[in-house]
Amino acid sequence: MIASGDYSGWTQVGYIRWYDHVTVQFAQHHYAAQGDEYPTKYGTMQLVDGTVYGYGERWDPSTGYELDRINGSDFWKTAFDPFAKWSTPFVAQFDGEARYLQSDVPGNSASPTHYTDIQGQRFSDNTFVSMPCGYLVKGNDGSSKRTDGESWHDVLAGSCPDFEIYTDTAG
Amino acid sequence: MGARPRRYYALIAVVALLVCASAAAAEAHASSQQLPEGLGRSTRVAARAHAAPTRVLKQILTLRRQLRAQSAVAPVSYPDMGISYQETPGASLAGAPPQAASAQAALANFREQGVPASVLGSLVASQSPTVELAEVTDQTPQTSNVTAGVPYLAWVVTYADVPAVSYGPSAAPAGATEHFVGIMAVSTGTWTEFFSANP
Repeated sequence: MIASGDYSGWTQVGYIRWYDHVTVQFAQHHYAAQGDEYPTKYGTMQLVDGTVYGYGERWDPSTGYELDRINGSDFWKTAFDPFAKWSTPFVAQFDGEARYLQSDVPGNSASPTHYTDIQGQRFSDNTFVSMPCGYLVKGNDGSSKRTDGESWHDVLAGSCPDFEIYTDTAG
Repeated sequence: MGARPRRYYALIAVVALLVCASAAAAEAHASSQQLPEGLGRSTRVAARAHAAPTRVLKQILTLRRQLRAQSAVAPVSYPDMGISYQETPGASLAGAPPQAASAQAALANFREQGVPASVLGSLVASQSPTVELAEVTDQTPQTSNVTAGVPYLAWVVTYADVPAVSYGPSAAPAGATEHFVGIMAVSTGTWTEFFSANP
């Protein structure tokens, strides 16, 4: 996810899982002037457990649109230029989004979800560069419980910037 | 002077049309180019004068039908999704697989899909969606069966009153609603798009 500096808008791409239903890819866009609308695109194919995908948001300087990328291809794109609709500096977040307690953070203690090759698009020249250590901060590792009593956990704390997360009551 | 009688007859014809021709009657009249037999001279003159404007009237009525048809099936656009469609109720379903052979079959298949079941929950059965046969244009298709910007025949299933869902930093306001739409390609019977947005 890449979000407005005041969190009033965002674009995100990744996968979404509903308990006892399906896991599919998805993306969502929003900016404050849209009001109550949260355009969301869902994948039509169910994902297979254990498959690795690359997800990323990329701003296209030639059009001004934000591209939702999956495995290097455009899954969707915004109909607006985030630099015209959001406030800067933008905030990068990575799927799992543990700040939002009701999000179904993927993985469990036996099989956490592993995030690698974390990059960001540099403002000055739009080049993607590896995320430096210290840029990513934890939201609430093990401290805040969801309504179901579970919390999220980072089990690769020393591997910056990679991390592994899962949701469980342990820890 | 020579042109005056033609203008006169034309005027008579226009007045006659305005006074007596309902749309249906005028259409029926316009379909015949033969003058009726056994009519008196005055009637034949009026009928002959009538014949030329009816061609114009026929064109006008045809145009009016086309305009009415277009207004009845105005294009629908979801700008945020890069998707638009034009309803085409009479399009051929020849060769369509069973799940795409009718609106009922498409809706039944839609209700079996995991994404609609997850997003809509109980609404998938309790709410009455619209199911339209349409030419769909998708600027960012997610399947290789669809080419960006090239229209294809599809079933469009729309649930029009679905609570908006935010997966981001701020929650959707209570009472906010969006459309939830599923699009099935008629040629393959596969779902090409599921999305939430407002037109």
